[in-house]
Amino acid sequence: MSDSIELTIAFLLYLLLFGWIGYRRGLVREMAVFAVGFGSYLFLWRYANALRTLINLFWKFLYFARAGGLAGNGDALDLLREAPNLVRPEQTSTVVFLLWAALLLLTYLVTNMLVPDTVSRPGIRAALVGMVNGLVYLGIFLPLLASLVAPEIRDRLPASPEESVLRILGRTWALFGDSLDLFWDASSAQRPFVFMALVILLLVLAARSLRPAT
Amino acid sequence: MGALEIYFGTIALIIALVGVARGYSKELGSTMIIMVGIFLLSFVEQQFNPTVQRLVTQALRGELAEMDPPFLLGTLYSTVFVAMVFAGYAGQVIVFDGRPLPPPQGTILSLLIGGLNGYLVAGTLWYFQHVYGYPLSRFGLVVPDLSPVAQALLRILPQAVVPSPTWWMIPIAVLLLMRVRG
Repeated sequence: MSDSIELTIAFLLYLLLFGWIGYRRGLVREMAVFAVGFGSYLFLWRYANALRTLINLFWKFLYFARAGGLAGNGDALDLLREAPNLVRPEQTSTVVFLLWAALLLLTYLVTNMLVPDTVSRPGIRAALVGMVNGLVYLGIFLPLLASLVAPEIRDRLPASPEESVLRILGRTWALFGDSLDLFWDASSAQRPFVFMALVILLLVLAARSLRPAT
Repeated sequence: MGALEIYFGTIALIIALVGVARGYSKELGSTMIIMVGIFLLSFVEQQFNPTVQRLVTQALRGELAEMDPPFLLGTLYSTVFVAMVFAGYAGQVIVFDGRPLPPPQGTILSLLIGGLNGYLVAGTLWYFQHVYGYPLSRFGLVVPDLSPVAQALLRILPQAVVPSPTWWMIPIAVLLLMRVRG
């Protein structure tokens, strides 16, 4: 509870950072990154075992080809039976993660190079999508990073990235509520002032934003 | 009837959605009227409650005058406030000229200003109900059973946060200055 204000500020700064990145890169680039980043992670996670089988089959095919199987060498089939798997079942999640990270990096590079600035315009929508991207990365990276620092966390990791993102959003919401409660209790003497300052800020912001009618 | 927080929350939500539909340039005028209403009623309530109570009792003859004073005052203040809010939405108010921002910024601002209006209207009505012993419960319109959520929300009603009427004049003055300055 005592750390909740610091955690909330850190979280808001993190979101602001991704919002700024999104604002600079523009809506189209950020949407593409979201579609590829989130979509590919869900896809790779769901079909991780099939993917491992495919990689192993391809690896064995290479093994077979190098042994001269394509040229009709009969021993290649014997060698193929003894060929080890490239990816063992316990390595599946690591391979999926590496593939996803490479795909994400590639998407950032490709969208930067191929999507012109005139198509991907900066704006508040782009900033919002950037923040959503930040939330997705948080849901994926945070459990992994936390397990680096404290390996015992690995046992409590969410079963899937969707669950991870939802859990982080839920925890953030609770944290935000705790911070507001703390702020509310701490500002009991200045409550009317704080409330009115916020109301006036909102009203001035709204009144100032009205543009002259043409 | 459902829980009080659902009842008043629905009122606030409807007003917020009306704000989104009307746009924040129109909502600002209504905000001023709502705040004037809160200021006037809070001022009268704090300074002249016994006088108002006597006048109301004298004005009402027969069985109505026998009703308990909190019921009469709560009903009177709520009715006057609703009339002011109605005037703020249906009547002519100070207009803030200019085109609102395009979506989504404009929509977000409309939702915020509409939400503020909803909070002020629903919160003030709830405040009068709470302080005067829930007059609407006599008509079976509300059941004054306060859940933990309702008790927490009572702490953040407009008049609970800003008890002094004087404070409510500050945003009105700021908006007036901005309107005059253009």
